[in-house]
Amino acid sequence: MVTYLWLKEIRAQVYTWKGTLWLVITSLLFSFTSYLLLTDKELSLLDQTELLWLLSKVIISVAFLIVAIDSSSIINSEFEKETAESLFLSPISIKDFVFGKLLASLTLWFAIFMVATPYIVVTSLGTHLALPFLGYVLFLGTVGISGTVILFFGVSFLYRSAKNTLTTSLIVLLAFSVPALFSSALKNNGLAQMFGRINPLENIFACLDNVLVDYRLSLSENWRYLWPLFIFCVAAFVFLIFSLNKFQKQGVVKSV
Amino acid sequence: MNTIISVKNLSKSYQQVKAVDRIDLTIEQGEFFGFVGPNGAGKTSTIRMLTGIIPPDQGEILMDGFTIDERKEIARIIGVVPESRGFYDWMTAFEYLQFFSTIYGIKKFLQPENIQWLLDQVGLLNRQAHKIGTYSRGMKQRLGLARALINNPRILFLDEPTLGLDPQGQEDIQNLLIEFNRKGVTIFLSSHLLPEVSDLCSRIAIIDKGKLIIQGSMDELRQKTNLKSTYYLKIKGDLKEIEDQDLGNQIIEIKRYSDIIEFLYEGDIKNVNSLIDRLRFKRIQILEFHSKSDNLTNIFLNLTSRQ
Repeated sequence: MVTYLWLKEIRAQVYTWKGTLWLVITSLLFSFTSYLLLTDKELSLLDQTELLWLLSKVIISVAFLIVAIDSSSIINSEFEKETAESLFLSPISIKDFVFGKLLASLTLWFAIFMVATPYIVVTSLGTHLALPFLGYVLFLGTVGISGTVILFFGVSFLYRSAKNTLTTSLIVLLAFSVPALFSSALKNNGLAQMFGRINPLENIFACLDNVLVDYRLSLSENWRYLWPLFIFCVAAFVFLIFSLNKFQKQGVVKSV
Repeated sequence: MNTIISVKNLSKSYQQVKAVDRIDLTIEQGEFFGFVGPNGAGKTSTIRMLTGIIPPDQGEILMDGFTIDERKEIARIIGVVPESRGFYDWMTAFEYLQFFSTIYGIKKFLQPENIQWLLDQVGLLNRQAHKIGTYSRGMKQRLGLARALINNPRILFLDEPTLGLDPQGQEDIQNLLIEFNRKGVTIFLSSHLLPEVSDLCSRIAIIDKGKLIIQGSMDELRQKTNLKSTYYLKIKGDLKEIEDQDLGNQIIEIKRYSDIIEFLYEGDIKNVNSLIDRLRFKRIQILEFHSKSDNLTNIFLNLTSRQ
């Protein structure tokens, strides 16, 4: 059942050009970033590992943004286009529905990763970091994006409105990315440090810095960045369960 | 006959508004059941609770032996044309039905024949390869019915199935429903087209302000409402002829247009037949005659306006 729903979403992405367009935009962004990194006078003075880290941040940020926008509408479009009622009249469970949609969102992430792969390989030439780079981006991206998508699915089931979910999702993403703009002094502030520890995006960037710049490749050396990511995923899942309970109490259709 | 739908004390409220208020229903297997009521009476809420789309606040629902908690099992034995008409516009009709066939677990090799038969039944076979986004409202309505029938359901719930269809389309759908009912499918029809309901349904329930006011066959509804039969008669002739028939106290309304007289007569059908015989004997031309009261519209209006 999950497979059919997942395939339906993939076909919807292709047929409506939504998914394909995202990939074209992603490709253009990565090309532009890579070109800047390799040709800009100031940027080209950076150490190559620093360049790799910058590129990894761009890949993760772009993927988070695109998947957030996509996951905000993937569930709500069923409610807004009134297709949810027909779907839930058939023998599919809410679990199948959520997993089918989650797989579709993750497929978009994997497609973005596939687009990013040649850029990662080319920019890593000569550093022997291509494989760790690919592996860590894939691993961290999958965990971080899964948590984020689950969180936004929870918001979707609460609001049942793509516009409201997207607004909330963008605010959450903004909150995740704002600490990157903080000065070093501000980052050492107690509150900022605490937020930094639980912020999934911050932990992903720090972990990639540890891998690509400081060459600490083992999972044990990066564990302090990984556990907050897992905690974030668990918290997002608990929130989704709460939203689904509320959704099931209200019914597929809120009121007549 | 076996009871296929049993509803006891079913209620649903939206904040302070009681949409459905302690209704009881029993529907037998193979029955063609009509469910009518004014806008906002609670028809759609009732159907949504019966089909597991919204949970009831209280009450018991038994659908062919399954409780409402067994949603997946119920979904396999029912087909629903819901009030909301959402479709995946990017799919073709064939792909759409194929998607639902797969969800219902219909084997792949059986799907094309089954889908094409259904599309033929609803008159969409020649449009099967066209995107649903290009369909008219009536065509989408037909496709919705095909989807509801894809799993060969034992119970069919229809919420305004002929809404938006032209008269030919309405007749096609009605004939299709009659055919499925003859094959043993229990049909639960909610419609605003009262002549359609009274023509098709063996039993009818009227709901108003969430409460079930009355249910039964048309004869039972007539008896229960105790409505006097009223007949409309349009003749060409002299009113004196009518008055001579000693019917003055049974005529409740008269309109005269030169030699044309229209009147409403309230009484027994035997007396009306006798009146018509006598008018014919006197060579008075009867231009029009029909019953005005014993139809569902009158019963409906009488009951819902009294509430």
